[in-house]
Amino acid sequence: MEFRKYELTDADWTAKKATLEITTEGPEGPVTSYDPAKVVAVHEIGHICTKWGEDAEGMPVCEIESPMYAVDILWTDAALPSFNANVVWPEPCGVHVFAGWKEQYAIDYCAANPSAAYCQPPTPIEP
Amino acid sequence: MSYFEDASLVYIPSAVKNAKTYSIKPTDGSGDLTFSRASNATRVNSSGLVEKVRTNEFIYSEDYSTTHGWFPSTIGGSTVDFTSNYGIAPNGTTTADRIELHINGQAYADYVRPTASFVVGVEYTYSIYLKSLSGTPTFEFFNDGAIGVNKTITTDWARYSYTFTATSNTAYPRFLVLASTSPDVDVLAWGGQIERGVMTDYIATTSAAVSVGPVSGLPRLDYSGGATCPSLKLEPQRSNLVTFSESFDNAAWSKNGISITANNAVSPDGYTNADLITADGTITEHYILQGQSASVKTISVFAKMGSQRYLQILTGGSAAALANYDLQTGAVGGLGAATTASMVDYGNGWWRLILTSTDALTNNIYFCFASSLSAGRFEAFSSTGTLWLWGAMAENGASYATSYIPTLSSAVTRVADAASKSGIASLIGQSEGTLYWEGYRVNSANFGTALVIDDTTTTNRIYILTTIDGFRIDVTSGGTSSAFYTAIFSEGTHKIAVAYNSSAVDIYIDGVSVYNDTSVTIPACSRLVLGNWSGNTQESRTSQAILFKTRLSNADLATLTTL
Repeated sequence: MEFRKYELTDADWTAKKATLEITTEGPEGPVTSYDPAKVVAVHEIGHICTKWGEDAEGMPVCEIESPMYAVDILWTDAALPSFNANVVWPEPCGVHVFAGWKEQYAIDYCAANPSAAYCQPPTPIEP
Repeated sequence: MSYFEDASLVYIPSAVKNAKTYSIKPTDGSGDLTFSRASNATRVNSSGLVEKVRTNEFIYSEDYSTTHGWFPSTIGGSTVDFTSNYGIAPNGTTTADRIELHINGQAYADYVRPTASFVVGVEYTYSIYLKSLSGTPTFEFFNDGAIGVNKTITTDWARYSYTFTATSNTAYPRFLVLASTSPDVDVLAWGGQIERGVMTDYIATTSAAVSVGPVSGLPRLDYSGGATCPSLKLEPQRSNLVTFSESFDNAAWSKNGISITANNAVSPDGYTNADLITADGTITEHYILQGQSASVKTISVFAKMGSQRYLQILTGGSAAALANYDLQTGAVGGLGAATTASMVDYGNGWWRLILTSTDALTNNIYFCFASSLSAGRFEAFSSTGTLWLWGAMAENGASYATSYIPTLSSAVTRVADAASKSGIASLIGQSEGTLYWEGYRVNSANFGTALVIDDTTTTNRIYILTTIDGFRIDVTSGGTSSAFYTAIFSEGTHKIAVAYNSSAVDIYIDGVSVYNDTSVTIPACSRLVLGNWSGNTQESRTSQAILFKTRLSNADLATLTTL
C-alpha cells in the first residue's frame, strides 16, 4: 500500500476519480464504488481553508478557500502514474491521515524532501 | 441433533491475528476468514473500556547504549560511564543499564539522545523507570526543547514521567547533571516510553516504534453494550473531523463561560485523560466549540456528570440540529426538527452522547451547558457546574455514530473493515443448505452486509443485508433473483436462518417463519463474506455465522433463531 496526498482542480479530480471507480450490481441497482484493486480508501478533504476570519459573533469562519481540491488516497499497491503530477507534500504536522499512517507519511515525506527542515536531525541544547 | 456437528463452518468470534479471524469449525484452518482494514481503529474491550492503539515512539526502550544514538556530552573533565545490562529491571530481567555522570569539578555532565518526531501543539508524555544506586540525586531527565525537567531519583525502582505540549519537533530524553544541583549521578535506567497523551502501560521497543491495540489489519472483537461474548465489528470508512478530540484545553477548541482542567479524571479508555469543564458562575452561555464543515451529519462526545446535569449539543446557523442530554438519567430532550439523539451507557458514569441530523449542518459544533432537558439554543444562565468530556467526534455524511476515532492536530480516517473466505465451495451447500447469522443490526442510511455467499461476483449469491430499517434477503442465480424478502426490523440483536434446496427457500427471523418460496434456483457459491460486500459497508456486528450443507427442518430453523 502507498499513502499519497494530492491537489487537483475540480474538473481534474472528477475525471481522475472516474478512473478509480467500478460499478457493480447492488441490492437496488448498479452501485459505483472505488475499485479495491486500485485503492483501499479515498478521503476527499475538499477545498482547504487558507485564511480564517471571524463572524460577527467572533466565531471562526473560512474567508478564503484554496481553488484546488485536496484528496488523500491509500493505494492498494503503487499510486497510479496518472496522479503523479498532482502529488503534494505538506509537512507531516496537522494534516489529515488515515489512522496509523502518520509515521509512514513522515518517512515518505523525508524521502521525498530530504532537505526539509522537518527532516533534519536535531542537536541538543547544552547548559 | 447437534447443530455444531451438522455444520460445515462455524464462525464464533473468539480468536484473531493480523489479517485473520478464526472459525472454530472446520479446525484445519480451511474456514478461517481473511480480514482487512488498512488503518488503526478502536474497540470496546472485554473490560468495557474503549481500547485505542497506543504507541511507544521511544526506540530501543531498554537499551541506552551509544549504538542507538545516545552519546555523552561532557565539558572539560566531566565524564559519562555506561554499562549495558548491569542490573535487574522492573520486569525481573537483567536488562537495566547503568549510567554514571561524573562532574569532576566541571559545570555539567550529560548523556543524551535527541529525538525529532514531535508534532507542535500535541500533548506527549515521556516516562522511564529509574533507580539510584547512590543517594537520591536530582538531575534533568528530559528536555522538551525549551524546558528542562528535573527529577529526584530514589533508591527504589519508580516510573518517572513528564507530560508536555510540544513547542518544537525536538526533545531530549537525557541524563543531565549540573554541578549546581547535584553531586555525581549513578542510576539504573530501563523502559523508556514516549507516547501521545497521558502515560499508559509500558510497551517494549527495539529498532522501531511499537503499537498495541486494534492496529491496522487486526480484526476487532467488540464487547459494546456490556456484552459478555464478543462480536466481530465491521464498519464502513469514516473520518473524525474534530481535531484534538480529547484535549478540550487545546486552542483548537474555543471556550465561553467555562474553564478547562486537562487530564482530570479517568475516561472511558481507563486512563486519566478526561478534561474537567467548569462553568464560571456568570450569567452567560457556557460552551466550547470547534469549527466544522457543512457536511458533518453525526456528532458525538463522551460526557460524565459532575455537578452539571444537562449538556446540549448543537450546531451554528441551524435550529434543527439540537439536543439536550441528561447525564444523570440518560434521557434526551429538546430535539430539533431534523435531529435524532441518543445516549449510550459506557459505565462509571460515562455516556456517549450522539446527535444525528438530516439538516445541512453549518460551521461550528457546540457542547453547551443547559439548565434543563427542554432548554433552548445557547441558554444563558448562571452556573458553577462541572462535568467531564472526552472523545469528541464529527462524522461527515454519516447517519449514525461509529466507533470512536481519536485525533490530534488533524482529521483522521478509519478505513472500512472486510472479512471473507474464498474457495470454500466444499463448505457451502450447493444443492441444499442453510445459512445462519446472529448479530446486531444498526439503523443506517445505507445497506450493510450481514452474511453473503457468492461466487465472487454479484451474479450468483445469497445475501442477508441490513437496510435502512431492517433486513433484505435475496437468492440470485445467473443474475436472476428467485427469492426476495425485505422487511422492517428494529435496531438490535437478531437471529436469521435461510434454508434452501431445489424445492423451496425458507427464511426464519427471531424464531418466526417470515418467508417461503417454492420456486427457486440455487446458485453455485464458493465464498463467504461478512461485512463490506459489493459496496454495502454499513456496520455489522456478527456474533455467530454458521453454514450447513443440509437444509435444516423448519422446527430446527425456529429453534435456532429464537432469541
